[in-house]
Amino acid sequence: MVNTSSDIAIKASGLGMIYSPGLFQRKKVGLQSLDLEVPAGSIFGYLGQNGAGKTTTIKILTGLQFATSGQAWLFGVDVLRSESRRKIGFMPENPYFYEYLTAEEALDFYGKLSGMDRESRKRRTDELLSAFGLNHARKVNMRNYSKGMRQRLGLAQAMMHKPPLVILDEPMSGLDPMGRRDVRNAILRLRDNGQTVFFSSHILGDVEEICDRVCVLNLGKKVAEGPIASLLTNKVVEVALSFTGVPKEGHAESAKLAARSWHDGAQYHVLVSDEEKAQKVTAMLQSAGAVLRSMVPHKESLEEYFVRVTMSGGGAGPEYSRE
Amino acid sequence: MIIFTIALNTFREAVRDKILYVLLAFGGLLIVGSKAIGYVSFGQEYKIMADMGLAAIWMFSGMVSIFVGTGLIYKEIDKRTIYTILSKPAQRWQFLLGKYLGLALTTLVNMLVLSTAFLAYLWLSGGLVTVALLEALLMIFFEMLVVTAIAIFFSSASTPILSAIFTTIIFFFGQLTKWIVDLAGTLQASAATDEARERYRVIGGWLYKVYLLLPNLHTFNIRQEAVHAEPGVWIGAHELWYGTLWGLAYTAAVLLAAQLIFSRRNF
Amino acid sequence: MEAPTITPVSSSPLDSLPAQYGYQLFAGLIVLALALIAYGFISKKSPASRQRIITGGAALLFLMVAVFFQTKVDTQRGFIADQEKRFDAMIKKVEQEKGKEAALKMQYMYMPSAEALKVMTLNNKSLAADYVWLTTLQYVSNSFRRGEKFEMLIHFYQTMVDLDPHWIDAEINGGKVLSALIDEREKSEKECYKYAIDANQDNINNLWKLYYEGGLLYVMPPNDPRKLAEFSRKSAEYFDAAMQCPGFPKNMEGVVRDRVGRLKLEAREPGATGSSFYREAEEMMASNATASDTPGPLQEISRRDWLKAHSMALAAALTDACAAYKKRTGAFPPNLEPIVKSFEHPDAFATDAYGFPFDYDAATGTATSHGAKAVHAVQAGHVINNLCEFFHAANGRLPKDLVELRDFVRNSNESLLHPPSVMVIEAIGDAQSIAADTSAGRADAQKHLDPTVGPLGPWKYDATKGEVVFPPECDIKALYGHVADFDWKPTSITRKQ
Repeated sequence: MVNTSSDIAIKASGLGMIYSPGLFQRKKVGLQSLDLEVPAGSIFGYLGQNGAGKTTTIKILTGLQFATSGQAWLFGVDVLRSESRRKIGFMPENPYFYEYLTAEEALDFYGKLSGMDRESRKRRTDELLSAFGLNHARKVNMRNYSKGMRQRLGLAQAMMHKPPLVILDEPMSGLDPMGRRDVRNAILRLRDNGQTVFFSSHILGDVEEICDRVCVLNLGKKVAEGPIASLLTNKVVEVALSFTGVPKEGHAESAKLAARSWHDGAQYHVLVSDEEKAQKVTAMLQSAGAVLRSMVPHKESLEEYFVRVTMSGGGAGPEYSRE
Repeated sequence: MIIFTIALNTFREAVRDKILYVLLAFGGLLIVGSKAIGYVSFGQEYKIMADMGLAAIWMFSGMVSIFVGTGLIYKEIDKRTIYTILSKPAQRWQFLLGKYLGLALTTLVNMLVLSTAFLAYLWLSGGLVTVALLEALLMIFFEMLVVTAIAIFFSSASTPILSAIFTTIIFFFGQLTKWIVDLAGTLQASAATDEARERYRVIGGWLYKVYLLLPNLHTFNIRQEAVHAEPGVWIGAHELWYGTLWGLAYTAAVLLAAQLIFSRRNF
Repeated sequence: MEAPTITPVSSSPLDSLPAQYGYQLFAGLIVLALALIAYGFISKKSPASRQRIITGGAALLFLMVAVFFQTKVDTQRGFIADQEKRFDAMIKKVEQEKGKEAALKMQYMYMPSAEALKVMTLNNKSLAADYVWLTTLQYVSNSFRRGEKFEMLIHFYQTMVDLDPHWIDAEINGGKVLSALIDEREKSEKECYKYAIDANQDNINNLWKLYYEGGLLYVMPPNDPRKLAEFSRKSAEYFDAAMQCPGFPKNMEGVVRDRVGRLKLEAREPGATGSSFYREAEEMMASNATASDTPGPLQEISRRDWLKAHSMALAAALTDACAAYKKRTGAFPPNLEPIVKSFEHPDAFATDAYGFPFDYDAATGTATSHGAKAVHAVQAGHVINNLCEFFHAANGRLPKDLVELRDFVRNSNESLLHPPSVMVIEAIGDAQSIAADTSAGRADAQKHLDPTVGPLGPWKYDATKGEVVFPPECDIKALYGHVADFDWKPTSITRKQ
């Protein structure tokens, strides 16, 4: 059943990858039965620990690897066909280029491979080099480029032919905060232009800031997918309480309910894991004569959520939220 | 367009490879040095210069095809420059063919440089530049086209070291495959009994079948005839045409085999 | 075959030091290395610098140790020249212990076979042949230097031919060198020229060159005069074969045809069908004598030669006819009249080309050309005159008669006479020596030299001048002048009326 709707940029169905490293080595599972849908015009974050299968997925989508099971489509075209790659631009992790080419020559080369004519290539090269601040180095051999410059050029070549879908593998890796900000802005601009961005990343802060939807992968399996807002429930993960009027040695009974408690000389602080426990501790200490000074609940951040879903093994099923 | 783009890029990359210049320099040295050997040859100077020049061009062009060719695909994979190419609408066979053509172009340029130096040196030294010598050089080029295809085949399947070893073995062995067929004949002729003779005849038949599948690079070796040919005399046109067509067919077969491996390779 | 053990040249420890540099340099470098290491330890520089100094010193020290061991290796195996001496000593030892064949086989290892070279050079056979050629040159010069025989040359030559049969230049030059170095010409013919010719049967354009060289091989008279006829015959056959090759140059045909004609004349053998032989020679001369593209001087020479050949052919035909007459009738004819009458064109046999009637010996049934004998006598007479000068130089006076001269030539140790050269034999040898039949050889040709009798009978001798007196018909100008008696046309040569 092929979804030929142009609303879906990427669709994967039962995608699986099993590696056979060698004759006498055990087979390794890269991906297990992945189902995925990336709506067109969105920024989609693809998260997972090292070795979760993010790069494997991306390589399958971009034709660099062949899935051992399942299928995938890009704008309704099967990824096994080379036409599927007409509508994508891809930036690999830590991109490498031909050392002896200059930025200009490299963009021209990739433009030719994408089927652009000379006029368009020239115009687009100027645009991109300007946009990514590489004009000053346009005639410099890429062997002399810094990591940040390479990363930016990688992004530029992915966007050369204005593809409807841009796939980025760890676009922010190794960049300083300024660099990361530039990349984030570039991604946002792509969405503003109506282009879809699918990228994998470790830097959850950036993902939280710009992604519309995320998918979390763990050991080759999808464990969560959906808009960030709905994945990050308003669930309180921790409450921080502060009291005065508690002796320095603390309060043994309430300490049993706390994850952590300490006296800083002026106030007695207690951290509990939920609101119910917070109420109990507050009641206990107040009945002992303490005065509540503050109660601050912490909601789960994306990072905490990520750690939670990827660390939970055994019976915990995947968490989904679709809208 | 894609094939041409990749080919040109490959050519640019290859001419920046230092090994190319080292090999060119050695080839040039050998050509120039041949005159010194010619001096002590008791009047056979031009023949020896021609022999050494042709052999040097053959050997060093072969080394270029092997050492640059076997590293070609591997480098792309190792350096991951292949990712940004194969993720474009470029099909894998286009990539492979582009690589091959780029290397063929490099070989052509390399051979042109060495050949020009050789022929000019020979002529300036008083030797004759005959049409047969040009034919021999052309045949060397066709041989290199086959060797390059074999190098690309191994390069798409294996590491540069192993690829270089295998390709070099084939390059050397391909000069002597006729020996296999001759061997059968020799065994047959020296057989003591009728039974043995018949056995060798059957073996000979099978050996010949094996021979037909091997890269019989000696087909392109007309250097000996070229050195002795009179000016204006073309060497056996018929055999050369058949040999060239064999080379083209064999190259196509090898490249297609490379594509078989390459098309399903995971990067 | 196990390798014989090689004993070192000397075992003195000083010899193991590199002599040409002087051991001072070697010792100096070792001291420097040790000093650097010591300095590295005691110096007050930074640890990184000291480490570098120590490392440099240690590297130099190990290098000198390696040099020391290298010289030990060289002592064992000798440098190149010593190695050659070692190799020769080894070969001699093998020859003594296992015989010449084994020694020769061992020397062949010096040069691999053609097949092995083909494989080693990866089928670059032409290059392999170059290597063999260069090695051959080196071998020749080394053998000269060592005063040795050239036993390996044939093997080198044949290996070269096997590898590159169409390398005619080298085959020719090599063949020339070989035939000069090897005593027996027949051996160089068989092992070299024939070998190369067999290998070049498909070399249509250049095969003639090898046949031509074969002809040149035998054109020089042999040292053994008994072999003259055989050599001349072989030479003529080779030149003939050369001319029949498609690539033979047109501009050489005249010269070579002339040469073949002369050689066939020289290759006369008793008992052979002389008339057919002389007819062939005559035809050769005729062709040259009448061809329009033969240069003038050559044409004149050919015409003169034709006169002689034609005369001898006619005489041989008459002799054959006498033999046939004897078979029929039981005796030789008393004179040539009945014989001449029996021919188709009796007029043609009336006189020889010089206009003389034929001489006839009824006892043996042999007809001879008086004119040809006169030409021969002119040549013989001049040789006798030269021998008189020899006599004068040896004895301070001219011989008093030809008998005295005869004794002198029969006992002289002059190189021209002992053994007698072909020229001398032709002039004053006896019939058997002149015939030079190898099967009934004349080893003592010198003892049968006889200047007293010439082609036209006993010589008259002028003792005062030390010269023979030529009979009146021995006027070479007049003899050659008979060329004008004939009409020289390509299709026929006819006597003018």
